[in-house]
Amino acid sequence: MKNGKVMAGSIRMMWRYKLRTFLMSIGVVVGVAVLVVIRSYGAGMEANIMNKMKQFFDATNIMVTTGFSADGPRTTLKLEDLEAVQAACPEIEAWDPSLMRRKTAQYRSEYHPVLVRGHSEHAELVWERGVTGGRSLDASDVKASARVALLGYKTADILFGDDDPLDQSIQLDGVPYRVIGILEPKGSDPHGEDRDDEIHVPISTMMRRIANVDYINFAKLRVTEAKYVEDVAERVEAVLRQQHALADGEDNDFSLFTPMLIKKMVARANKVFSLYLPLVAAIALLVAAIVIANIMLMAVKERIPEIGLRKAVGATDGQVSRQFLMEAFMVTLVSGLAGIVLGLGVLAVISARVDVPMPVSATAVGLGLAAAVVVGILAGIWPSRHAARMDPVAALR
Amino acid sequence: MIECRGICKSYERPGEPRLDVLKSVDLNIEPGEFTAVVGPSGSGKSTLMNILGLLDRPDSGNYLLGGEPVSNLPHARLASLRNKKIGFVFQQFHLLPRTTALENVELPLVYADTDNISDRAAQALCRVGLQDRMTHTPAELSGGQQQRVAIARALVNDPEIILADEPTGNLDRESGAGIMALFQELNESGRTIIFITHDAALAARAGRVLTMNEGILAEEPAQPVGGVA
Ligand SMILES: Nc1ncnc2c1ncn2[C@@H]1O[C@H](COP(=O)(O)OP(=O)(O)OP(=O)(O)O)[C@@H](O)[C@H]1O
Ligand SMILES: [Mg+2]
Repeated sequence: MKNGKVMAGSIRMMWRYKLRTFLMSIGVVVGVAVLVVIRSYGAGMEANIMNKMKQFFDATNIMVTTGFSADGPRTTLKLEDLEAVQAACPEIEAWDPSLMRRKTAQYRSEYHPVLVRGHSEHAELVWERGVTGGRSLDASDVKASARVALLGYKTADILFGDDDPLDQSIQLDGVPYRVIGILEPKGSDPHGEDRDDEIHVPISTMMRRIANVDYINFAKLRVTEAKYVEDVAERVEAVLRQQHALADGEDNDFSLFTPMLIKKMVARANKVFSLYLPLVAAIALLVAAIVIANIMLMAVKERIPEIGLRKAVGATDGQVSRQFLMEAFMVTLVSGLAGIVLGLGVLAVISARVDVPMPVSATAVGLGLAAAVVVGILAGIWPSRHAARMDPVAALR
Repeated sequence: MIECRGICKSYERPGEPRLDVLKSVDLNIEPGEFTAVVGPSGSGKSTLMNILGLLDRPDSGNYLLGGEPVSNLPHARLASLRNKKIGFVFQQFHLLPRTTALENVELPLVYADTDNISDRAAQALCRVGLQDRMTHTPAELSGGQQQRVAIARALVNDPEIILADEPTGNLDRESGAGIMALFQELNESGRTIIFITHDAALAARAGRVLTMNEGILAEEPAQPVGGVA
């Protein structure tokens, strides 16, 4: 008997027993789809995060954040701490503090809830973000706790529409602020915040007039040359511990992010995609193989008379076993292809949703198909041997 | 055509005495013979038929099929002989469900590595008078029609012998008579046919009647078989 005929017969059988075929295939479809999605998603996300990271955090940057204690956001990071850091580390070219509050901005009848960030006159240099119109914050703004504001371009659009926002007055909590500039577009940051919909005010204004606190949320440091970064970070840590009077063995009440650490974090996050999730997919496929083997075995039992008959009309043991193997193989092959198509579809939807390009990973597609084929063969061997060994007389009774 | 000498078959089950189903059966069937096998239930008719059809092996004895000793052939060779030389008809029809009459009849050809499979299957279906039912599935056919499909399947590879184990056992009298008429026609066109039946009237239509009784095969019926009245 020719293989082509066996294959055609298997396809016919799959079609005739649609429910059984469907049950056998779901596991493989899902497993392969998951494999394709996570491989491509992981790769796309990694590239995306790395790109974003580069935009917000380059090789000369150190970030000092307070994070959270058990009682909520920490309030221990002060401007004086950073001044002490700067004094101890001449390699620090500039540093910029930041304190954030959510406020509602108003221009005439337009109200818009928005994240307001306090920054210093060094923000432009440290964050590498200038203005497309007007000017950035300067030292006198900060010194005077001036009521001036920079708008992200989206915020400007929302509040002003077609009007020119420059030198207009917006209100934050009923207090008027003069718009002095429009921030350069920046996209969304690694935290997922839309950095084009925000307002910047002088840090002093934020601390005294808006938040009325004496601490900041975080500060970004810029070192003159990348090679000093890790060394500077060590000294920054020492100075901050001293400033905060932390005893030996006591945990830091702040976090330091250096380029090396960020790289490690991204790699660790990526490990979930590159290692653990494929493991999940592999388990899904293994389960699928077991399910298929079970259903095939049940099908063999259900088809005992068919096996007996095939033998009676001249099928050899090998042909019977090949038929069942081919059926399992075809089911999984087709399911594997369906899984790839499903995976690509899901990937396209996710990619569009999060607005991140996710190039289809060719290895993922190849891997998915290979996995499906292996599952098919594994799941088929046992039932097919079972079928082939059946005694025709007993099978026909 | 068929020569059997001293065919024995017995079953042994743990804790039970050995059951001798066939006790040294001798049998000669000439080409073109039309033979009925009768006998009480459990006497070993089907067991003999399965051995003649190479589905089962005897424990001892010699079996020559067309002059060739077949008792000790390997599995694959037996499969090929079943495919080319023997056509089976069963009481339960054994058609593949959800599969058209035509595809059912094609089955032996699929394993025979021949061409024109569909044409030959269609011819066989015409031969049994089912030219109008080729695309029907078994569920869409009457019992008599299903058995005709099964006979077409037995015929399609042009075998020398047709073995039928109670081919009319699941059919009403009228369809049964139709099937018998078909067998008779096939026999008249030269085919060797052996069939098992419990119906004395049907057995009487065969040229030769063998009686199986507790594993012993005899030429004449010892007494009229109590078939369906
Ligand atoms: N695999 C087996 N194991 C044990 N005993 C068996 C086996 N197959 C058949 N037998 C026994 O062999 C005997 C003959 O069975 P067989 O099927 O040949 O009878 P039969 O003449 O065809 O009967 P019926 O007219 O009812 O079909 C029976 O008693 C049966 O129980
Ligand atoms: Mg029987």
